[in-house]
Amino acid sequence: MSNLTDTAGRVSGSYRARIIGKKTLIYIVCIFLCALSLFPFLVMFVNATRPSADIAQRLSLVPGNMLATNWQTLEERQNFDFVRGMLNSLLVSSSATFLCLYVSLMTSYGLVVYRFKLRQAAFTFIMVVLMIPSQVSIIGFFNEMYKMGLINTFWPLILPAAASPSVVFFMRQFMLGSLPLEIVEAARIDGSGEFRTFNRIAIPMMAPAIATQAIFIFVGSWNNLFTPTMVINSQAKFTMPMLVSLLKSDRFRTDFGTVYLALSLTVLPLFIVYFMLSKFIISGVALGGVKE
Amino acid sequence: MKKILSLVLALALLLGCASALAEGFTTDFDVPATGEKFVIYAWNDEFLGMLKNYYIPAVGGTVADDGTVTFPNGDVLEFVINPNDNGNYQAKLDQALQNEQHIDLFLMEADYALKYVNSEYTRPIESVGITAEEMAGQYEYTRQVATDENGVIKGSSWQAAPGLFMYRASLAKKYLGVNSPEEMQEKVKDWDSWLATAREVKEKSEGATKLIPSNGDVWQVVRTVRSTPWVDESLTLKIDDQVKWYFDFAKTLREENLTAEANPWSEGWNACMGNDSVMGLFFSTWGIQWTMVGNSGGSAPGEGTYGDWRAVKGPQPYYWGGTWLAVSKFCTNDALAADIIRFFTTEEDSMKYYCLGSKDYVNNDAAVKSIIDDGFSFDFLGGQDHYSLFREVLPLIDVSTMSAYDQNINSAMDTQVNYYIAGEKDLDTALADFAAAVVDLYPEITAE
Amino acid sequence: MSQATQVTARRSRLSRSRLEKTYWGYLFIAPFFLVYAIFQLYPLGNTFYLAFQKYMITGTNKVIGPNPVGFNNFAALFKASSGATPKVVQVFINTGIMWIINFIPQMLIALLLAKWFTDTRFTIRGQGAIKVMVYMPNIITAASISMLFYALFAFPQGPANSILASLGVIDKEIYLNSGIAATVAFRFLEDGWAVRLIVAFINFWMWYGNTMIVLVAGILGVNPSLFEAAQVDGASSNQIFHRITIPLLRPILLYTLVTSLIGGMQMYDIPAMMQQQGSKAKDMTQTVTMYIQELVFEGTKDYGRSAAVSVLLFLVTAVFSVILFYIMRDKEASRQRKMMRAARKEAKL
Repeated sequence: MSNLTDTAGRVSGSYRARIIGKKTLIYIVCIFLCALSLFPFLVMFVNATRPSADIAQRLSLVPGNMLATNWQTLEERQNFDFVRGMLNSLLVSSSATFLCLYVSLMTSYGLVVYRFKLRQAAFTFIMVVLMIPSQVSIIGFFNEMYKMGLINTFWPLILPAAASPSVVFFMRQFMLGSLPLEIVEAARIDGSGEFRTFNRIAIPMMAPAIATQAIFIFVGSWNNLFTPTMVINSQAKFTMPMLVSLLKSDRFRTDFGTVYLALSLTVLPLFIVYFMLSKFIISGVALGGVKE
Repeated sequence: MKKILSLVLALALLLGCASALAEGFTTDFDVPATGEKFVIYAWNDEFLGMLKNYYIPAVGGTVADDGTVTFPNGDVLEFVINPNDNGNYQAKLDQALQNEQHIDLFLMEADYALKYVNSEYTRPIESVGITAEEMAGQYEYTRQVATDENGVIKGSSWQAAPGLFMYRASLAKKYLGVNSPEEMQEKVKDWDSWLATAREVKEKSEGATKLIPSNGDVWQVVRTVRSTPWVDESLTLKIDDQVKWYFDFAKTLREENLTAEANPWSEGWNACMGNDSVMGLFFSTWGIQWTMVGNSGGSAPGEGTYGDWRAVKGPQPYYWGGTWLAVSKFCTNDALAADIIRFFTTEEDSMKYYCLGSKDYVNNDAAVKSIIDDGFSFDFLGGQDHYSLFREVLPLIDVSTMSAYDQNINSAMDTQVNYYIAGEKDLDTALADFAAAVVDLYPEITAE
Repeated sequence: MSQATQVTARRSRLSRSRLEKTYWGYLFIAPFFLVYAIFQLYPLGNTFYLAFQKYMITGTNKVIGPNPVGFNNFAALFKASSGATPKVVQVFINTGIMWIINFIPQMLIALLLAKWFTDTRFTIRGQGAIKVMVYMPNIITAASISMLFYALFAFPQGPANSILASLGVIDKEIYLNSGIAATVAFRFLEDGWAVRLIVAFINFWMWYGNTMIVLVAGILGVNPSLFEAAQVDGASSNQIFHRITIPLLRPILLYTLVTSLIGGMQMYDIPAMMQQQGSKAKDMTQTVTMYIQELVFEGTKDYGRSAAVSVLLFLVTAVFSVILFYIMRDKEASRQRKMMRAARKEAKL
């Protein structure tokens, strides 16, 4: 590839100049976009180190010296059990992510690899329910959880993730493009069981899709405030966003420095998950499997 | 890929196994070792703190290191907090009540107390054994608020919330030449004087200081002195002259740039109390020792604006807020419920003890009076005894305009006030759109 | 064995084994449908049922209904005082406008970045870092974002107004005098169009990185040998992008379009957080789902009307999605055929 570019470059100097010009433009745009992306994090982290009264008065990018004080205030809040909230959130989000990914992969695999009577009907059904906003059925969902005795448990936050039409749709679209049936067939000939083929051959080939969806699902679940707020009552089961909203709930006296510190802490695990998985996105080029 | 999967799986398993979290998958709360659980619903942790810091030490229960509160009889407190964003507290409380969940006590605010008082979900306070005589020491208006259509008292408040007008002594001296609260009261004794003072402050300070953060602060006072509640017995929306007067008053404030335009509870509004952009503020009992002190930027005289504030009665007597305890229909421990209610809302001794510790203005005149007689002063207000002022305002409080609909209707009105003062709608259109918004919120209400 | 016979033999085994294996298909899709039936279907049925009932809990906690009322809830929604737009129509318009002014730039920027990042003529250094960073706004919670934008657009002397002043849009001299700045400064959070643009911008900025990553993953998922073949044939990178990448990307583009449309119609967090107390901008920025929530959380809990709005939202989304599918359907099928051919050709090599 690079050989081709080099050859072309030698052929025409103006071409090379164009490329350099274009690359410069690209870098400028990218740097601008990156700055735009980092800005809110900077503000958030900086505000976590400033006194509340100061934050309310002006925006600043210069860190203050109140980090320890804010941390202490947070520690002293009788209801802010940070470690517990973190563990709750981790448990809910990682279980939901894993369940959602695995079931969605299974479903899309079933739809792509096998030819059965209700295949098209099943896919159409998934497409139809994809269009139904989750808010539509929230009241019914809530009452059903009451009847099933699942209020104030993690189950309503985890189990429904297994039926995510949009993830199934994505996986199916991706599978159509990157999982040749010949490979599945070859595995069968080699005597691999259906489930084994799915686990050992199909799933690894879907790596980039899984990595991208894993981030979306994890982040969505982690940042979800609405469903946990509806479902969880006991303080010991509060997720991180719920704890933050608890801090803000004291509308009669909001300590903004503490709120920003709590928000910063909430985003840290997302950073870790994100940076862990981002490797797979960036290096997902090789995309093994397509070439036989 | 396997790495991701195994990692996610390992993480999930690890966390799943953590015994501390196992209960996340069962309905039970921290299961009490002994005794029953006693459930209280609230929107923040204020009352939890009151239980931990005042009730439990006084009656001899225990507060464990992990925060578990155990009452003397072995019952364990389950304090359910649902933050009040977008009506969430009421939504969760309603759902729990409709699904007949175990709740012993729940908290209500003035804005919607009547909604629960007039419902079957609250029990008469008398039904847990608290007599009318016991409640006689409470301020009259707090009992009125909690009285249902049939005259039965179904809620009991630990605080009274008469309001005052607070101002910054140093700024008043600088811009108005005012040297004492008495002189200041003269400058704000009615709304005309108040408005003239607002103009004077703006002029003398060349706009750097305003008398009030926003027009919304004026509404906090005006809403309590209307001639009728928002909704009458026949469920018709009533817009009285006082409301129209407020629309025009707000417009004057906007057109002449007389406020700092910091809406109540916004960041800017909180900030106003710590800098010189605003000179005055309407607030009631809890707002002073809780919100204003917290926002003053200090905790002792000389720090921030702490100690520079003074209190006067202002243009009109009014009340703002207050919290009521209600006994839920599904209460299973009448004795404990009664004991908690008595401790905070009917017994002079315990209420005095709580008042001295928290500076909260308690709902018991005898307790407050004995504190004043012992010599009371508050350094945040430059050593003023504002409790005496509260006691003067209290008998004048009129809650006859309170209704179950106030919170949402007030907020619908706010929107139309903003259209009107921005000059985008005339008064008739704004009021008509206000009525339409109310009917959309409450289909059972008809507009006039 | 010659290649031809090998392939024929494989084909026959293929069709036979498929017949035997069909029940596996049901097995693979069963968990999804099971979970869906339990956690979504019942509540959904409940919603459709409620849309045709009068069922409310009044402001004083009195329960009315449920009684069947036919289409009354829908009629009530569309009833408006003379000349005014019914609120239900207005919230659909608001949602649509805010979605479109976020989606168009989002798609353009994401495509452009995806094109740059997969361009074969040159490599962008630090690509990984850039990708990581542009996605980052997506992981921040709506609560922190709204707090930040409140600060940016603060009145009267927030950063946004300062920029207007330094650009000379508002009188700088008056603006710099904090006492009278309010007379010239712009009330962003009170202005319907300003809040619409802010909401659209936040959505754009939160999601373009996400869309870009999906598109890049899609492009990378395309058989690399196709690119190589095109390059060997001397195609330029623009040609490759338009003739090979875009057509092959259709399933992913369709996915992005449909999910963005559906997500957009369900827009809730950001516009809800950007409502200043009593702001008159709310009339122009309240979305459909905010209205659904309002009907059951504020004032009388009107389950009937709320469910009716939900049904309308479903119908509108469905109509638009079907249109999208229809536009892209044939092309998708032909793409699939092309893919199959390419894969087969590959297999023969």
